[in-house]
Amino acid sequence: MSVTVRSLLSRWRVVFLGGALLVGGGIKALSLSNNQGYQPTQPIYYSHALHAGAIEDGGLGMECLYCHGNAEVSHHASVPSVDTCMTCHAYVQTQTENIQKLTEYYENNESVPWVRIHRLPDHVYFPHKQHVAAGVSCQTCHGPMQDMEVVYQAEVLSMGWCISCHRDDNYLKTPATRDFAKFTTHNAASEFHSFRQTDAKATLDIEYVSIAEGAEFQTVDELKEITKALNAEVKRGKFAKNEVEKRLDMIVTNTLGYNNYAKQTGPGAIDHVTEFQNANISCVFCHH
Amino acid sequence: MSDQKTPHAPLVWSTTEELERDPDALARQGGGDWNSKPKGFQTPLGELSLPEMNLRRRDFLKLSGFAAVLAAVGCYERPESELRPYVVQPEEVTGGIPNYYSSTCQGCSAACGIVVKTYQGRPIKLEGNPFHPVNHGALCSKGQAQVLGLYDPDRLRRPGRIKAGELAQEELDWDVAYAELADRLKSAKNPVLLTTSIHGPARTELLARFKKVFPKLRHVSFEAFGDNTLLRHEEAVYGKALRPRYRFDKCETVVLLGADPMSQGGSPLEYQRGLGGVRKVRRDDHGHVTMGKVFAFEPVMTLSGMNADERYPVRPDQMLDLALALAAQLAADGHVVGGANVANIARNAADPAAVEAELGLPKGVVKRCADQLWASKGKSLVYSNSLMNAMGAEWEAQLALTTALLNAMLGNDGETIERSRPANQLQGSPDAFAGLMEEMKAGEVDVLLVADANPAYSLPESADFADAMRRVAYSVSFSSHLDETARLCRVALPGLHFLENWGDAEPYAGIYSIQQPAIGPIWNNRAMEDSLIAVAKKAGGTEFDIEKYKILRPALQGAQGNPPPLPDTPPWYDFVRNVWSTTVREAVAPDLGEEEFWHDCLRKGVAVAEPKGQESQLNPGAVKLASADERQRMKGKAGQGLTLVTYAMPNLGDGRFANNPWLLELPDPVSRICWDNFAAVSYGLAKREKLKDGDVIELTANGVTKRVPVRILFGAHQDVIGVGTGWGREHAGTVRDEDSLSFNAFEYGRVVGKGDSAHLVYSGALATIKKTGDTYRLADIMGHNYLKADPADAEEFRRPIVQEVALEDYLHDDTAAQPPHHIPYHKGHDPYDSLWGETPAEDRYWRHKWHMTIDLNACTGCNACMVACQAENNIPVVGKREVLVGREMHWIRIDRYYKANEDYLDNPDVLKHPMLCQHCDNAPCETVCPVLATVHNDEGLNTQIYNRCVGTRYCANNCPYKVRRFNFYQYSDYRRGPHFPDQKLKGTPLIMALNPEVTVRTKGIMEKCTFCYQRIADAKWHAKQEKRNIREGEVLTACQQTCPTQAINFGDALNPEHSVNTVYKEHAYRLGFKVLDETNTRPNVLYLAQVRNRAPGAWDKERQAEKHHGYGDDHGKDGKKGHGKGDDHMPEAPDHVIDHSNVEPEPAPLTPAAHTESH
Repeated sequence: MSVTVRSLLSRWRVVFLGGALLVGGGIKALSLSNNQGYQPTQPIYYSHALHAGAIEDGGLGMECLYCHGNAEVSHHASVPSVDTCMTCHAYVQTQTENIQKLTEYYENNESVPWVRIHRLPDHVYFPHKQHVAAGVSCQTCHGPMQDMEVVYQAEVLSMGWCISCHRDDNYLKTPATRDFAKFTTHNAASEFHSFRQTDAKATLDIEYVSIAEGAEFQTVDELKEITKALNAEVKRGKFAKNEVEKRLDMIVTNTLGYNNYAKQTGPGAIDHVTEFQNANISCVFCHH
Repeated sequence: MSDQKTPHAPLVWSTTEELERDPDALARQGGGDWNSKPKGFQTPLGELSLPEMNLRRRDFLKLSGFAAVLAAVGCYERPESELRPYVVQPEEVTGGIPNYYSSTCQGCSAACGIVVKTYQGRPIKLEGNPFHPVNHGALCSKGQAQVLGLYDPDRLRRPGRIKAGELAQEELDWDVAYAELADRLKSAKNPVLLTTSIHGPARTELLARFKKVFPKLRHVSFEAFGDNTLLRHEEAVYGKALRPRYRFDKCETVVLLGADPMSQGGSPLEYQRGLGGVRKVRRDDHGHVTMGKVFAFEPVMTLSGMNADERYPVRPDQMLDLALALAAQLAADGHVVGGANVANIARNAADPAAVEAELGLPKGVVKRCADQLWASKGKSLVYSNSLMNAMGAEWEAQLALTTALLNAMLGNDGETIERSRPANQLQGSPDAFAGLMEEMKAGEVDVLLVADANPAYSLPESADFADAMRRVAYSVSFSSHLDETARLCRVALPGLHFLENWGDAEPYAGIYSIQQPAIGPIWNNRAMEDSLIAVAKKAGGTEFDIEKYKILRPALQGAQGNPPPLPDTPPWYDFVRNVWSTTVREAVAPDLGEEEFWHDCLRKGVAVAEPKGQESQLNPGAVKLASADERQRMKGKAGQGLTLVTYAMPNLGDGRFANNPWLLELPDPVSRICWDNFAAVSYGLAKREKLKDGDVIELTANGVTKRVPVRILFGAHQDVIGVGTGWGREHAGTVRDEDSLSFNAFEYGRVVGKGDSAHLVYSGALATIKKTGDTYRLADIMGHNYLKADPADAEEFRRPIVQEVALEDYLHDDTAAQPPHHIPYHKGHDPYDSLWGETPAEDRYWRHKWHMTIDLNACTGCNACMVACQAENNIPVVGKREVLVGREMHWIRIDRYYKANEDYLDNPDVLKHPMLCQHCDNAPCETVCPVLATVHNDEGLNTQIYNRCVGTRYCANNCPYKVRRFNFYQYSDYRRGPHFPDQKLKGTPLIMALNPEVTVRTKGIMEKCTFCYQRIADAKWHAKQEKRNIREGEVLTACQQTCPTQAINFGDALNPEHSVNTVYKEHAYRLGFKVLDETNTRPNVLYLAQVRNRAPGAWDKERQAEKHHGYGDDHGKDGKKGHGKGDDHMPEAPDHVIDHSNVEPEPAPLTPAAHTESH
């Protein structure tokens, strides 16, 4: 045994082989376990740009959650079942090559073998529902899906990347998250992805309405008014001080969430109505 | 105990080696350290070690460098994987959210209600149905393991002919098989359908209609644990051949005569729940602390016996004398409910004092037992149905009669023994089949249909079942496996697992329990019921032409195109629904509509009708007690030498679960041995015969000789050798060791009598043993990884791990159960400075702080929690060889300690101690982790972060509770450990049993109990969504959920609504103690000390002094008897007389809810 090992490891071979491997592999090794940009060919050419893109850009403006509705209620966003596609494509564009493929899968009672792109390690406990509820937009993690003809992995999805948000003060709402950031030794994540407290704040002043505990606001100024009113309540002794903070927190969270949601779906979200009316599909068909 | 000896603190030990301080044996066990390999141990990879490779340091570094570069180059590409969506997503299914279906467990005939948790159509966990009147939300270890049985890859996968014990290669079409069977049945002269217990309105209706199509067909139920002596006797004495319902849950005193209702009986889980409730410390109506009492007289230590307050080893042939002595004592004292003619029967049946002397019992036991029974008349139960008493038909009839007489004297009929709702559980018996076998041997049975029953395994060797089967012209097996019986049949038409099938059950008359499938058939198998219907139709029967119910999919209505076709509903579904919509609906709720009733039943899982039967009273005229001479004749030779006793081992039951790795690796509750059974001998017998644990002996009884390993089972009778059932199955499946010495205990039985009076005798035979000189290693989990309570250490160094107290001591001093070194936090100061300069708890934890309490008095040590945890948390099976080196992976284990004074080593008390991660506030594991893989979170949980762990194992070494588990060999890949590398989970349905909510851990990392964090997270999420606090009972850990006796409570210490706080308040400085509290680890698990309802004698200064010195209590010296010592003096006072005046006024009055739920 010792003879073989020693002869394998003679000095020059080691230097040469090791050097070659280091140079050749080192470049790849830089992107160790990074699947950013992964863009496999899918069995059916499905364009997110066409379905989810804004109507002005030639898309249909469909909501993400129309197909990936699980994201709101479950850990998994889930790929829609084949019959979800068929609810429309039994009527719409039935003759194209890709829809024909889809119909074939459906009629053969066969699942479409989509190639998985976003994948976290088994030890990661990532719930979609919490993130959707907290108002993180789909695009924050999945990139500009509404522009993708073929889906690719836009972000690294590494642990460091996760904490780039979670160590941000704005997201340190729960102590669990805080500890997560504090204890992580892997936070040498690229600044490239550092999440955007500023972005989040900027969304406050757009036109959507949120309701939390009876309070509504549409602009930042209105929010300030509400804050004042609540503080007045504190003085009157109706609320404890931390109660106000809690309520404001909730209001802001909900507003942020709703706005991001609106942003991602685009202003033309309901304009698909015309499209479907042309195909003689009633509203109730989808919106039971 | 002789009077000359000075009393001293009792010994506490867990293995014989420990008791004897045998250094060789301790070394053989691996010395309690998982890092040390015992001699001759081979790693799964063979002997591979660095010195043999003669590798120098520089070479090693070079190789490491290569490895690093290769890893970097090789690992960056990721394998492509698929995402497969549903074609048509069922409306009720959302990816990632579990669905729950109520159903009925058919693991045994008890028919507990279950709730099946499914993920996208695959069941991953069974839990008890809280609305079910049999099990009230609990589930036993076997029930928990059924989900693994569903995915068993050894199940038959298609129909086929059986040739030479194997499934023939050529395909057999279902229709062809049905036509063939229909022809055979039509022309048959004496066809027989052999099943296990079958009850349930639809099932019985199906059989009735099937019999109409084939009028000659006979139905025989076979249950290895069944007992029709009881039925015969019920008919004679009570007028009706019914199985009564035993209500242990209504009892205050229970006397077990050689019986182990927790392991064997019609409804073991229900009995266990009841018995556990008897022994819970509670407050009576006046607010006084009280508890029930259990006496056990038994030949070997059983699960029930180890939970008794007073337990004495008694040979099976002495059991009848003892029962008669009890009856005579009651009669003599005039303690009889039934009047003079009942009393007269028993008056001179036996002389209690003589019986005590003969049996070697301490003086006064019979009187004490009788007094206690009388004190709770109408709320007591004497129970003797057991395999251990199966000494012959007459003998059993006499014992049953005496037991009935006792219960009648105590007025228990109609109170704790209900005949208005008779039991359907455990129908049939081996006897019914023994008669049938004579016909088979005579060639009279021409068609035999077998479903699930396995007489080829559970009949004695001498019965020669194989020969009988050869003479049956045509036999069909509906069993799911090619088991011992199925392989003797001609055709296999494999049935479905109960989780794949519709069905129903009626455990007690009028309690209808529905069984609905949670998954479609995994293989090309069909329900036996469907097969029977198809066969009846082929034969031209019109009995099954019934209405077709449609399963509708509203989502598809109105869709165009060609949606995939709906699977046709099987006729058995229509049949079940039909019966439930008519018969059951009329019995339960005739006002409800059919559709409404059906859906209501599916939702609740159970429908309960009013009881129709009548309670009946004993007919004294029918009670004919045998004379002493007759009893002597019935006994035969039993007791004249070493007597064989067959007992039911709780894990495998009658052997039907012998291919389930979860249950095989589950340690036996009493011996803590897994992967094998053994011949159980007492310590005294072992000394006498010079036997050691693991010695291989030749055990001969009834002409059968086997090589079996010996295990010292403390508490066994000195003249008894016990053999446990359920093991040694040769054709259970592929989970079987070729070199295992597990043996079939049923083979030691014999058939006595002919025809209808044939009877199977399992116990009482004279046995001989011969040492072979060989040894065999039994996998004993108590040999390692437990908290050492070393009996040889000086008393002051012995660590008080488990606390126990006598009830009377506790009543005198409510801190009697406190360990001597406990920290008096409650007095408002902290005597220990912390190393960390810690922040006060209220600053560290402000949202949640999770606490658990475990009531050791309620805990029976049944292991249900271990399997529940295994199912919930994806805990792998490691295999026997890994267990031998202490590498089992159970996150919760139950430690078992024996405790006795030196004079009573042969009948020690048993302490059970469920041990799981204590989630210490000052966790010693956390401080030693170099990579912060184990950290505390803000909810008081000690978390383990798998991807940070690098496997230094420092934490495990530093954990005083030994609850951390290290994954040495990627155990999660294997079905039963790395020593069987060809049996992997991947590629088999077993992989579907994994819980997607819990990470499947890989090798090289540490793991441990998480307090079921996935359940906490889920509850938190729902609470947050609904903007409220987590409710009481919203987070149930897997162990807590399944616990038959509700010994475990779990909740948020910061939420005053959670009942865990009530328990804390009531018990924290009384019964409550924390293990190794003096080390300032501050565990978050509070144990409530075990209380024995036993008279400790006078309260004297000596005992008090002792208590504060060594262990928290001592009653090794009271009444604990070794065999053959009759000179002991027992306290005179009957211990039901409790002096309540000594109870201190309560600072925190107890709300009884937490502890008296079952009462």
